[in-house]
Amino acid sequence: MLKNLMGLVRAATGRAPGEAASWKLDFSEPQTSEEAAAQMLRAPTALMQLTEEEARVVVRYMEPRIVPEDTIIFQEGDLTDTGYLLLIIDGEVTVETLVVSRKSPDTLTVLGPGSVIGEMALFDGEARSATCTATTLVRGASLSREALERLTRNEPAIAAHLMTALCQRLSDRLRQSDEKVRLYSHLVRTMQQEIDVLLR
Amino acid sequence: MLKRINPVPHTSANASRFGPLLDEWLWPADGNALGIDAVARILCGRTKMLSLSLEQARKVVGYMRPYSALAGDVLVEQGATEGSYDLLLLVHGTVRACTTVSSPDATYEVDLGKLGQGDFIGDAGMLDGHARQASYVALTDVVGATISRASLEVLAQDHPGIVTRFMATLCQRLVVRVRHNNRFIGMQMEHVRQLQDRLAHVSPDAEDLPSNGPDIPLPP
Repeated sequence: MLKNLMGLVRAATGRAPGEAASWKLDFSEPQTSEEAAAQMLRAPTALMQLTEEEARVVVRYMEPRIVPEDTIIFQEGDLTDTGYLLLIIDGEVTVETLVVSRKSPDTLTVLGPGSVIGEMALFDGEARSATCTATTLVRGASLSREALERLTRNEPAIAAHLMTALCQRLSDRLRQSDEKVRLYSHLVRTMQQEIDVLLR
Repeated sequence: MLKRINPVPHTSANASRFGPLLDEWLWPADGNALGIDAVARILCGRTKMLSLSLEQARKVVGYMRPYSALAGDVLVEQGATEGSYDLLLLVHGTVRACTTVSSPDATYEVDLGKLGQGDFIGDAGMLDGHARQASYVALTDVVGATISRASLEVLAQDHPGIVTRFMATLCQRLVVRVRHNNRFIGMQMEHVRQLQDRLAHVSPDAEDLPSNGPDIPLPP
């Protein structure tokens, strides 16, 4: 159902294949939606390493998206339609994952404007690692593999800077996940020690 | 000659261990094409998008320097900042990643997994210059190739399109490691829940005990 919705929104932009995205969505704000997207792309939670001009160029290769409230953007385990990431320009997205043996998912985080989701599957094409749901109306911009290839051909210096920024973002994620591994390992060890003491 | 980062001297006895590897992987100063190609093949065609071609990968290798280490060597030490700007590509061998956890009563290591051919070490340090967050120990003799931040910047000026593809390759390897960690964290979350249940059964004051252990905040 989501893919149908996304398809309808994409059709509504009136973009012919191969053309740069046309930002016709009315965000009812003083800034154009393209400027809003460029600003969010440079947010500390997104790709702040880009300059203003670089962000504007990248945004032209992105597709505007509108996701209705309570709609799943990415479904954990989904192997289809993994070829894009989404920049959140406005709205809120809840990220959840289903842990082994649990019946209901655990909420990992709630993300807002300036956040990027879906970048992992963009690079390796593997299943989406979490379920991302629009908990409000979400206005965003997607960047596909095909668009990245075009950007690399047309604007190689900007593409290099963008890819370096994405790399740093993934590197930060690896650092954070390494830290979580440390914390959970310590937690397990401490709890096991508590149990061993109580059982003596 | 291949050069090791760590200070253990490369004696003639040690050198004989690298003999078979050197035949295949060595590239001397005159740019042995076979050696360069062997490393380039590890870099190219590995990603879902923006893959490096063999020719593009050869150009990247031209900006790299050879590296070697013996089994047991510490390639990178947690907390180190020296050499933080170098990125190491593993060409041959296996490396163990681990991190040290310190608490008031104990200090111990937590395993973060093994790395092998095609994996990178030092990406975060190269990108942001911060201290190393984990240690990397050679489980076998290791052969690799390093590239400094400065060399990467020169490559970016000379061949920005190639750097884009090299970064895509690096991103793909980072994603593999993040997914590995996520799977491990998922198992640990389940383990914590099981331990919470067990603690509730064995403790006489189960209601008074913090559900996440003493003085340990749950990770976000």
